[in-house]
Amino acid sequence: MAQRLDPAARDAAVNRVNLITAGVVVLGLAGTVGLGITIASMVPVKPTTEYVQPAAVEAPAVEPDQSPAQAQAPGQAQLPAQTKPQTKPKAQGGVTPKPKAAPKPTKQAPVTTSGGS
Amino acid sequence: MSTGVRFPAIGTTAHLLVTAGDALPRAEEMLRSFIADLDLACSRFRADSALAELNRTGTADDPLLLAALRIALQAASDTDGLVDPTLGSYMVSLGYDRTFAEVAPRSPRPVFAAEPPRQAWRRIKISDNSVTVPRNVRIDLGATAKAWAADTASAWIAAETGAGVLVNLGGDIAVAGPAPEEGWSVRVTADHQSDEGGQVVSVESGGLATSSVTVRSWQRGDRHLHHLLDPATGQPTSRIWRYATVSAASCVAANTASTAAMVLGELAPDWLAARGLPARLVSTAGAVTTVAEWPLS
Repeated sequence: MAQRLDPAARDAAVNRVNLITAGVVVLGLAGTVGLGITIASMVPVKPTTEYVQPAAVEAPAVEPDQSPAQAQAPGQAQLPAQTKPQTKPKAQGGVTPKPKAAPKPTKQAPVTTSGGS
Repeated sequence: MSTGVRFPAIGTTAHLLVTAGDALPRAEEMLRSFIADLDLACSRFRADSALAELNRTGTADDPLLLAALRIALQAASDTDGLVDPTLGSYMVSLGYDRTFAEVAPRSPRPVFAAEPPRQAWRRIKISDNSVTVPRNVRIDLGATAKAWAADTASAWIAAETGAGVLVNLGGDIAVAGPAPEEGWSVRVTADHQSDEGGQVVSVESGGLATSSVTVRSWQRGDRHLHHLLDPATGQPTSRIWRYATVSAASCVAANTASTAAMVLGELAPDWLAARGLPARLVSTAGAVTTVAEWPLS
C-alpha cells in the first residue's frame, strides 16, 4: 500500500530526484565532450595535398621549325587542353625527382641533341 | 670546351662528350664496355640475351638484367603503371618484333593485339638474385634501360676520369662531373639525329630525355603505328604530342616522365607541373607548351 508523504517530505524527494537527474546529465555531457577532445587529440592531422596550377605553363606558340603547311592557322588550332588544365592530377607515391636546376636558355651552339630515337 | 665521340649502339646512336680531351679514350672504352654488357643483358632482339631467356622461360638471374628490371619496376610504380615494362608481346603483335632497322616501314597486312594484361608488372617477382614474370608476359625495357645506362655510365666515367661527362644514348642524356662553364648546350627536337629546329638549352646536371612518336613509326594495313604504347590498351598512344622533353634529377627520371607524358596526352602538363618537372611539349600541330621552369625560346 502506498504511503502518503507529507508535502515537505514529498518536495524534498522531488528536489533530490531533479538534482540527481541534472547531475547525471551534466556528467554525461562532460564525459562526452572530454572523450571527443581526447580522441581528437590522438588522431594525427594529415595535411591535404593541394595542387597548385603552375603559373609558368606557357601559352602555346608555333614551333619555329614548323613550316607554314605544318603549323595550323590561328583559329584553326586544335590544341589539347594543355593551357587550361581541367583535371587535377592524381597524387601518386614515388615522385619523379626534379632536377637541381632547370635547363637555361643559351646562345651557345648545341653540342648534342635530345630527341626521339 | 668539350670533345667527344659518336658511334652506333643498341639500335641507336651513342654520343659521349667529356670536358677533358685526354680522358676521352678511357671514357669511350668504358662506355663501349658498359653498353656491350647492357646489350647482352637487356636486348629484346638477341637470342643470347638474359632478357630473351627471361621472355622464353619466365625466369632469369643476370645481375645487370635484375638491376635494369628494378629500375623499370620503380618507373612503373612511380607512374602508377603509365610506364609499363610488360608490353613486350604487344610490341611484337604490332610488328615491332625485330630491331627497328629490320622492321618493314609498311605492310598491307593489318595487325591485331589482344586486350593487355593490365598492371601485369605488379605480378613480377624479383628477389636479390632472380626474377620471375607471369606466364605469357614479355618484358620490354625500351623505355628505361637506355636512360638508366646513360645515368650509370656517365657517373662511372666521371668518377673514374674526374672529367665532366655527357652520355647521350639515342636522345636520353645524362651528365655527371663538373659541367663546362656555360653548361652543356643541348638541342631538343623530335629526332635525336636532327641538327635543326626545336630549341637549344643549357643543362648542368641530372638528365634530359625526349619521347617522340615520329622516329620509330611504321604502317600496317591502314594504321600508322609507333613504339610508345598505352598500357591501358596495348596500342600506340594517341598522337596528341609529337614529342615531349623533360628535365629531371636523373636521365631515367626524365625518361620516365617524358614517356608518361606521351601516354597521358592532354593531362601531361598537369601531371608534370604537379611534380615540378621542367618540360617542353610539342603538339602534332606544332604548338609548344612549356611546364614549370622550362625556359622560353
